[in-house]
Amino acid sequence: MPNSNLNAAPAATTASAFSPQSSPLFKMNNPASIVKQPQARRRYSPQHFYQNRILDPYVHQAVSPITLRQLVFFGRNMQEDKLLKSANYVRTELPIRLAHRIRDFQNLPFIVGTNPHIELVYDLYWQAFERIAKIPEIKTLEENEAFCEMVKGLLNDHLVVIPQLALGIMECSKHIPAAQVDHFMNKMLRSRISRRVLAEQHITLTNNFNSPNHMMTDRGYIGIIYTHIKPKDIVERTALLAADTCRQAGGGMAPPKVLLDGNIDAEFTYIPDHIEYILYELLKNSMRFVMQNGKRDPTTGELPPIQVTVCEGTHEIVFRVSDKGGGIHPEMESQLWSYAQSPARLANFEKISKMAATVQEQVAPSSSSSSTLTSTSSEESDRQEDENIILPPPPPTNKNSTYQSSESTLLLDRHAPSRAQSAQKSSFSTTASSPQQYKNQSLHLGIGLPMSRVYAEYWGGDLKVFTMHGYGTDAYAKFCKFGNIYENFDV
Amino acid sequence: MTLRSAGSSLAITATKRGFITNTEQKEAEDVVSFYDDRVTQYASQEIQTVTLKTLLGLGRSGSSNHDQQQGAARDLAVNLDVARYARKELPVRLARLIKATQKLPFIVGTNPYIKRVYKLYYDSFQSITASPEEIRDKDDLDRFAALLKGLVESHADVVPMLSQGFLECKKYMAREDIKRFLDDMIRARIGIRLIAEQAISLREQRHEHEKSSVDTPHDDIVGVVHTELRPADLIKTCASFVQELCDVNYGSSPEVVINGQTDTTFTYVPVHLEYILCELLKNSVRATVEQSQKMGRSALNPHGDGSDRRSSSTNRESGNGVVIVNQDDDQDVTKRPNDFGHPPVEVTIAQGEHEVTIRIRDHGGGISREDFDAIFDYSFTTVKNENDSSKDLSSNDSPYGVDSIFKGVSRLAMQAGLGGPIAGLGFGLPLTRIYAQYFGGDMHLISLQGYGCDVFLKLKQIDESLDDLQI
Repeated sequence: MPNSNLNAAPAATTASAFSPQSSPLFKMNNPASIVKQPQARRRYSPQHFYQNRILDPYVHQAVSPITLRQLVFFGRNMQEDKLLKSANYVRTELPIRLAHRIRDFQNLPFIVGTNPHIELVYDLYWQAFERIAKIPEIKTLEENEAFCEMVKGLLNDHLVVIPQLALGIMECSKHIPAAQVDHFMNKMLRSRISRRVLAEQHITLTNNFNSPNHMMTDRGYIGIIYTHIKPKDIVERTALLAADTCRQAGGGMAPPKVLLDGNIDAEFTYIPDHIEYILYELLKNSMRFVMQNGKRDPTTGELPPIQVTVCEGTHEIVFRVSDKGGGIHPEMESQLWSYAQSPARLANFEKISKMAATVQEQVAPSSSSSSTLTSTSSEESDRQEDENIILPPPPPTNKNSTYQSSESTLLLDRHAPSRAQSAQKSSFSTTASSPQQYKNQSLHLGIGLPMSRVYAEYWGGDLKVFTMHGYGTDAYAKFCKFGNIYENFDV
Repeated sequence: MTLRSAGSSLAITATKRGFITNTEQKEAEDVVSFYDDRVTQYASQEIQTVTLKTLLGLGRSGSSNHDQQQGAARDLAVNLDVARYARKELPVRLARLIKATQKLPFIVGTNPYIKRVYKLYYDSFQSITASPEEIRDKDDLDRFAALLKGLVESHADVVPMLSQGFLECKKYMAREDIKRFLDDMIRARIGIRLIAEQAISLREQRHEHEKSSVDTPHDDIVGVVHTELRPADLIKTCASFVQELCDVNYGSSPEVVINGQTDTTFTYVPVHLEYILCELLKNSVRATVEQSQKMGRSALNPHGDGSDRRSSSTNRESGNGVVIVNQDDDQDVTKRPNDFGHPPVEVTIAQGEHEVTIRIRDHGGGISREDFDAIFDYSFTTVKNENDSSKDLSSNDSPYGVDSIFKGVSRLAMQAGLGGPIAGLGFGLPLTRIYAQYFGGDMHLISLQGYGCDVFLKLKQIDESLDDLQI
């Protein structure tokens, strides 16, 4: 098989042994390390064009979407034969879904395809496809174990996909119209969620099956799905995380409190990870805006709290996150859901990425590290060497300030591992997590909202944001209660 | 509405008989309209759209500093300009509206309500075109303004009539066609009224100035525009009106809490905002009361009989003081139920750079999925007609809703010039949205089914930034 042209590719696929240069984090933060490839790129060779035929049978197969309910029913009372069935289902589904996306890449304009970041992701997808497609039918539990290990590794490697795609797409913004960019990214993300749901569900089921403590399923956990999600718990968890992030980034400034009301004790079935991602983004945004623009109470000196309301209907649950952070500036409002940001942001992003590499390398792999966020802004560029974390101001609401420079908080896609994490067996599952895990967040891509919407729409929900200029913003995240909606991804 | 065949048969009957009855005379006049080319003539003329600045006299600087005579002279000049524009423009717009109505399906056009509206517009068209084309001085102005005033008053019931008419014609026209027709017609109507009312108000204001010996500067009001409109005041007025209406119909009503940047002022047309606020508050207030009834909410039982409030009501903090459960926060006035157990309706005002946003939140239980798609349809209402046993809406379906109390109050309310009954007419929301969008604003409604509704009303300031906006 053609070898990958990434220097450290073999090392990257095993989670344990690696050098700093091979960590996905380093690569992602230091695109220069990826761009200069000494080896000839195989994808420009004639063989690649003709070998592309192996994709065809996969692309032509239909994908079968599933519902949460189906996953739950299947996952209950797990047995060996069911587990093997699940393994083979994943084994056959993943290549099909990957093949469809690879084809999408191949349909991008050529110039876009030559962008190094896009190339990186394309290569990753191809490798994953080839590796899984090669696997024969899984007939024993041992084979299942090996399979799970491999998939775990792939999931880990693919954590760079989102930042790389985002970077690549930003760099290509002059070659493709914004609408097409958004369409492509949404499609990619939806498919990515679908593959991860499949993979993570199966791996977790395997883990639960292997662990002597089968009590997990009794407590309502079916793989990555939880059947007794309580809004109160999930809001508390995410609010703590968001508060931590914002407190650190704000140089110790206390973040606003979060008030919770409504049907807080409602219970429903869902994948907690997805809800947490969305709520975390929303709360983080709200806190940032309030910390920047909120008017403190004259008597208590406190920032105006964020109000989260849980609304339970017959078919759905809505989380309303309401803040008094001054509202979103009209110019930003029009770009709220777009992946193709303005070129000014890109310039800022590059500045960050070069810096981040140096700081990250110096950070010791300990989970209690406190100074892990790097910062930049046009005003504070002279503090690059400073390891203290200062949160650059979030976009102001008046148009006098240069808002372009401010969207530069550095927070990674929270699913990406920290360096500390990569040292151990990475656990991609984020349900049972300590706040420490998210401290090593890095790059802020500015696409948290569109991504949250993809997550929200995945099982039939949605995400809406309304702003009141000069006052605050309301966000509404809706989730279906019954889990009988089919996955929303494009075939 | 082409009455050619009807006309010729009428003519035959009439000649046979030797005389024409009253009704036949009237119908004959209708027949004449087919042959009346003037409508087509006017309708084919270009609409002279005018920028808001011109129409609303925004270019006119404050005259309080100048000599009173000079100010009065300028006022007269502006007044004449607007009146002349109205004299030229109104026939064109009316003609277009009439022509659009003529294109409706024949059967729809014979509906008595729609026919009446058509006649109203046609008669107005006749009156204006019959009035002198030149407006030279104050007297001409006074005459013309009086004419306009009469016409505007006669058109007061147009929207309810249209609504009733199209309700009855539901089966003859596709939903989208009705929607499109009504949207266009209402937008045209708003424009026509704006022009007419502006001419009328300017004249009346000038008249007041002249009559009063005291130099009272009214620079904040320019015809129909108020340059320093305080939404908080308007909300208060509308709220009390709506609460009264609610008390009459249901026996109780919720509080309306106003918060946010309550000192906000901006430039807008108060009548429009009044209409919008009344409609939205009516919906919120009615929903709250009905939801309280459904849930069994009362002063002693603020959460109703629902089983979803198992948790204790004390505020609880979690972890390191980040999340606080403030479900029954008595300190929070937006949550405190009143003596009837109704949670309040919360109205928040925000002042942006070029617009004002008003958010209305209620605990009325939200809108069900099935209903949500239809709420912006005309003739859609969630008011149940007790007398209507059949699913198919027959001609018994009155737009005034259910029982006689409703009717009486609603007529009263209509006479007061503010909106209509609390519900049941079926055009509140679509009309509200058209008004909201009229000067470049918008309205969004979010339904939190099982909980309540949030409405975001975004209204652009009427100032130089709307220079290019044409009406």
